[in-house]
Amino acid sequence: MTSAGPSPRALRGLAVASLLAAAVAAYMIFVYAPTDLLQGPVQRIFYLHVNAAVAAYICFGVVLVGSVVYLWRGSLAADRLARAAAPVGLLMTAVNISMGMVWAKPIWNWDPHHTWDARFTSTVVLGAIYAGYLLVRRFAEPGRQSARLAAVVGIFGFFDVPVTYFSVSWWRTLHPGYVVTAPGGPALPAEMLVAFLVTTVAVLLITATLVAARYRIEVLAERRERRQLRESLSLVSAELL
Amino acid sequence: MSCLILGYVLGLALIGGYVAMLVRRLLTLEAEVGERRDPSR
Repeated sequence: MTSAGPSPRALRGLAVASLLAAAVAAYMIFVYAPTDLLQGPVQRIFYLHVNAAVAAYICFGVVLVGSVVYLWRGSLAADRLARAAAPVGLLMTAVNISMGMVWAKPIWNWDPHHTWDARFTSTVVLGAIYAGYLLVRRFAEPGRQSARLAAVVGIFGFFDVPVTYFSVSWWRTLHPGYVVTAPGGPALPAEMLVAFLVTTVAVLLITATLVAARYRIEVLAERRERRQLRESLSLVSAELL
Repeated sequence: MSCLILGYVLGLALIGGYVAMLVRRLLTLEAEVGERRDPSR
């Protein structure tokens, strides 16, 4: 991907690869992976629930790097990349939260109004921070001012990512501890781990495609703005002459 | 089983909805900047 964004052909290639990977992941989740003896079929939510969180953390990492590079070098491409990754990270956070809530209900008999959970709360805060980031981009004075403000939110907002990740060991609440990254190695049967890793590849491919598409949208929108500006300038000069 | 279905329907609906919005925006912008013929015309 250059600063002009991915070509339509590259974008199409990424989309096809994502679809194929999603089909393989669906087979691994629903056919290949064994049913959990304790939780039953609902445990299969795990594969997309956890990988959506992984994808969201990576997107917020991209927002962090893009924001730092923009403030440091004034790179418009880095700002555009941060702008493209933030909504995709927010989408993946929404997927993670909604699937987690559906999973938690039958397994923990969970009611968020009555039982506090550190992982759930810190993830909701994470989503709120990046929703705030998008609001800054939308409503702050357009141009450099909005980009600078958003970059600061993008840098400080990232501090909630490690808080969310470590929340299961810092606070002992309902959410289970580390499963794939457990200290003694993955706490999963081999088939479940393989299905998880295949789903990781698929979700990361889908995420990359969405960020690339969003980046291209930003490039095209800028091109349209420049064109409209040129047209109105030529109209004004024609009026004056 | 119903929770499994509900979970995946929710997750995939979110992703699918976003993909549909992106594709629509992309096609509109490409038509506007002249990189593609507007399919609605």
